Amino acid sequence: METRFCPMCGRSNQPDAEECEFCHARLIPLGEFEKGPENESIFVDLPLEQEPQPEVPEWLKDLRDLKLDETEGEVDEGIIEPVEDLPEWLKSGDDQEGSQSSKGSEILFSESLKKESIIGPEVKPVGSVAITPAGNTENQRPNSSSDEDKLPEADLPDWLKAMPGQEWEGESDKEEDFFGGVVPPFVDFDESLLNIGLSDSRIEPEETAEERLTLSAHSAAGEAEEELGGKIPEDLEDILEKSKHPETEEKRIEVAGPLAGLEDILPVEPFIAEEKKGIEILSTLLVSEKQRKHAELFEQLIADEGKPKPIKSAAAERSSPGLRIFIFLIILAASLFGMLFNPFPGKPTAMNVGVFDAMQALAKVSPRSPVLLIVDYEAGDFAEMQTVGFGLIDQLMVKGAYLVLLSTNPLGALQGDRLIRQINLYGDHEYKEQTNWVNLGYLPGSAAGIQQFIQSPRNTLPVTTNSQNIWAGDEMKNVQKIGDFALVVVMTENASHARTWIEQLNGNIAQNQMVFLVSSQIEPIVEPYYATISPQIGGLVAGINGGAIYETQAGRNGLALMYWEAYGLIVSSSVVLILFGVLVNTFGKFRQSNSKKTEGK
Amino acid sequence: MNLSADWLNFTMMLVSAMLTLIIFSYIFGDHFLFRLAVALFIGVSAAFGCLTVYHSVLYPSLIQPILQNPIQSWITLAIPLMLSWLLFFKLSQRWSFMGNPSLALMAGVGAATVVGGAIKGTLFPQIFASINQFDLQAMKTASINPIVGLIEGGVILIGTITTLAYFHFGAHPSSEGKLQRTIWIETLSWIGQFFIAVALGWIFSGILRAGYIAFLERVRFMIELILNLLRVI
Repeated sequence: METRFCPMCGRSNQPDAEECEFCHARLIPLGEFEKGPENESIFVDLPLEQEPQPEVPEWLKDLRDLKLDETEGEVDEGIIEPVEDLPEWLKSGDDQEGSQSSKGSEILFSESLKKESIIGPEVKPVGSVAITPAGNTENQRPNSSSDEDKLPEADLPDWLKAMPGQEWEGESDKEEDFFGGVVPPFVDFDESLLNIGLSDSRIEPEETAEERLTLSAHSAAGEAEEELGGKIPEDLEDILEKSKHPETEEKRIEVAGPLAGLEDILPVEPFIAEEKKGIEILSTLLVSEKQRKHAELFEQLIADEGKPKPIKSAAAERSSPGLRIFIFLIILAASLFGMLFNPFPGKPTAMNVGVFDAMQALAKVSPRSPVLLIVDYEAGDFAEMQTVGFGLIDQLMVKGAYLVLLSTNPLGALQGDRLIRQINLYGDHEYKEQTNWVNLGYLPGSAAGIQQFIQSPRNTLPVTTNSQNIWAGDEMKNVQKIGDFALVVVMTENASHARTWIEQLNGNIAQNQMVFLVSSQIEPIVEPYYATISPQIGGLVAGINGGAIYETQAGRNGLALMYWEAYGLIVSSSVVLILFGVLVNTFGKFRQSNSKKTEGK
Repeated sequence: MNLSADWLNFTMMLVSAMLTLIIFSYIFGDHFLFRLAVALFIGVSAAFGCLTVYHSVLYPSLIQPILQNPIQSWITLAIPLMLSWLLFFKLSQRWSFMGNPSLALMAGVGAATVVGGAIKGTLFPQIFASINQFDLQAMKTASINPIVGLIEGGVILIGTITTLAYFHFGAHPSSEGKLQRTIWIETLSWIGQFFIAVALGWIFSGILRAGYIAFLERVRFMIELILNLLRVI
C-alpha cells in the first residue's frame, strides 16, 4: 500500500492526505496543486467574503478584514488603533517616517503580504522598505537623528566612512563609489571590484535565479551569435523564448491552516516538503565475482542449516542383537571355562619394574607404621581396583601396617571400607577397624583440599568416619604432615585424579614413599611419571597384569591370580573375535566391490 | 523378628545376584527392569554421597563446632558461612550475582592450586624427563645400555614433537584459497597421529580389560552363589 510520508515528522499518512495527520504539515506542495486536476477546485479564487475558520485568532481576522477592505480601495482607519499599543521605539519611528509609517506596522505587514513571493520572478522591495548593507530597513531604522546610535566620527576608519551605509548620516542621495577608493585593511580586493559602483546607496534587491538565467542566456546568446555567425543554439533559443514570455503567476490563496484565506503568502513548508523522487537504488550489487560466490556459498550454507536433516534410524546404528548375544556367550563361556576348569595353569613370570619398585617401597614399612591408602575410584571400577591392589594391600596387612583410608570421592570412603573387608576376607587376615585401620572418609575441595591435607592432615580431617580422633593415637601421634606417613598408596582409575595427586604430592613427600595402583585404562597416562630416569613416583602397579605379577612375586594367591586364567581366555577370545570380525568385514567389502564391478560391466 | 547375619548376608547376595542378572539382561536390549536397576544405583549413590558430605563436612566443620562452642564458632565461621549462604543465590536468576564472590574465591583458589601443581608437578618434570632421556651419565648410573637408551630417547622425542605438531592448528591460506598447514608441520602431524593412535588404542584396550575384570568378578560371584545354594539345598 502506498503511503505519503510527512517531510516534517517523517510519519506515514494516507496517500491522498493533504496534511499530515500528526503534525498538520502540508504534504502536497502548493505547486503541485496547480497540476493536479482533482485539486483544481482548491485553487479557485475563493470569495473574499468567505468566513474565516473558527479557530482563527482575532488578530488574524483583523488582518483579513483589512485585506478585504484594501482590495476594495477602502482602508479602514480604525484598524490603525492598535498603533497606540506599540512600543515607544516603534511609535517614534513611525511618527518620523511620515505618511508611510502612519498606517502602522500592521499595514506594512499586510502590504508585504500582498507583494510577490520571494520565489516569484519579480522580487521587489516590500513597500518602501529598502534593505541596507547593514541589513536594516529604512522603516525599521530609527531616526537618523538618534544621537545615541551614532558612533563618533573620529573613531571610524576611512574605509568604513566610505561605506555606502553611511548615507544614514544624511548622505543617502549622494552617489559615490562603494568604498570611495579606500580599501579596507582586511580585504584584498581585485581592481575590478573597486570599480563597482552603486547608483544608489541602497542595495537593489538581488536578481532572482531566473533573471540571472535570462541575463546570462541573453549574453550567451549574443556571444554565440557572434561566434556562430548569427546562428543561436536551440537550447539557448528556448531559454530566450522563456525569458521573453515569463509565465504569469496566479495569485494563490491559502486554503489550510491558520493563514487560510490569505493570498500570496509564503508557503508554510520549505522546499524540502516538495515531493521528491525516491532514491534510485542500483539493482545490482557492486561486488566482485569472488565476493558474489562467497555470498552465494554463505546463503547456501544458511539455507542448508534451515533444512531438516534426516536422522539416521537408531536401528541402523545398533549392533545386531544376535551378534551381541553371540559375543556375550563366547566371553561367558571363556570365563566359566577358565574359572571352573583352569585349563592352562600358570602365573606371570616376567618381572615388572614398577611392581619391583613398589615392593621395594613396601619393604621399608615397619609394623604399626601409618600408611595412607587413598581410595579414589568409582563403584563401577571396584572389581579391577580390588584385583590390582590385592597383592600390595595384602602385603601391608601381612606386615601389620596401620592403614589410614582417605578419598576425594564421596563414594570412596565406602569403596575403601569394602576393599579392606574383602582383602581381609580373601587374605585370611584379622584386620579390625580402629585397631588396624581407620577411614578418614571424604576429603572435599579437590586439588585445594589435597593441598590442605598435605600441609596439615590433622586440621583438615580431625576425625574418622566413626567420629573418632585418631591423631592422638600411638600410630598417628608423629604424623604432622603427609611426609610423616611411612607410605602413601594412591588407588585410582581416573587419570585426572592420578595427575592431581602426583602434582600436589610432588615436593611434599619422598619419591620412594609414593606408590600408585592404577587401572589398566590410565596406565599410559601415569607411566610417563614413572618410566623416566628421574621418576616422580616410587612404584607403579597397573591393571590385572601388575597385580598378578605382584602376587606372584609376593607368593600369594590373590584375586589377580584367581582371575588370571579366565582373563587370559577372555582376552584370547576377544582377539579371535576381533580378527574374525575384521576378516568378515573385509570379505564383505570385497564382495560388495566385486558385485559393483560386475554390475558396472 | 531378628534375622541372623548369615540370613541377612544371604538375602543381600540374592538381591545382588538379581541386580547383576538384570544388568546383564541389557544384552537383549533396553527394558524396564534395566532402567529400574540403573535408577536404583544412581539413587543409592546420590543418597550416599549426600550423607557422606553431611557426615564428613557439614557436621564436623559446621554443626559440631557451633554446638560445642557457639560464640567462638560463630566468630570463626561467620565469613565461611556467609560465603556459603551467598551460593544459594545462584538458584535465583535475578540474584545470581550475589553468589559470584564465593564462586570467584573457589575458582581462584582452585585454579591457583591446579596451575601451580601442573607447572611444578607435570610440565617441568616432563620436559626434563624428555631431555634426560639423552643423559648418558644418567644412563650409566641406571645401568641402561647407551644405545638402547638413545633409541628410546629418540623415539620419545619424535613422539613428543610429532604429537605436539598434530595439535598445531596454525594455517595459512594457500594459492587456491584453502587454509593449509605448512608442509613440515603437516608431515610431522602425519607421523604424530600414529603415536596418538597407539596411545588411544592402549587406553581403549585398558577400558576393555577393566570391563573384563568386572565381568569376571560378577561371574565369580554368581558361581559362588550357585555353589552356596547347592550346598544349602
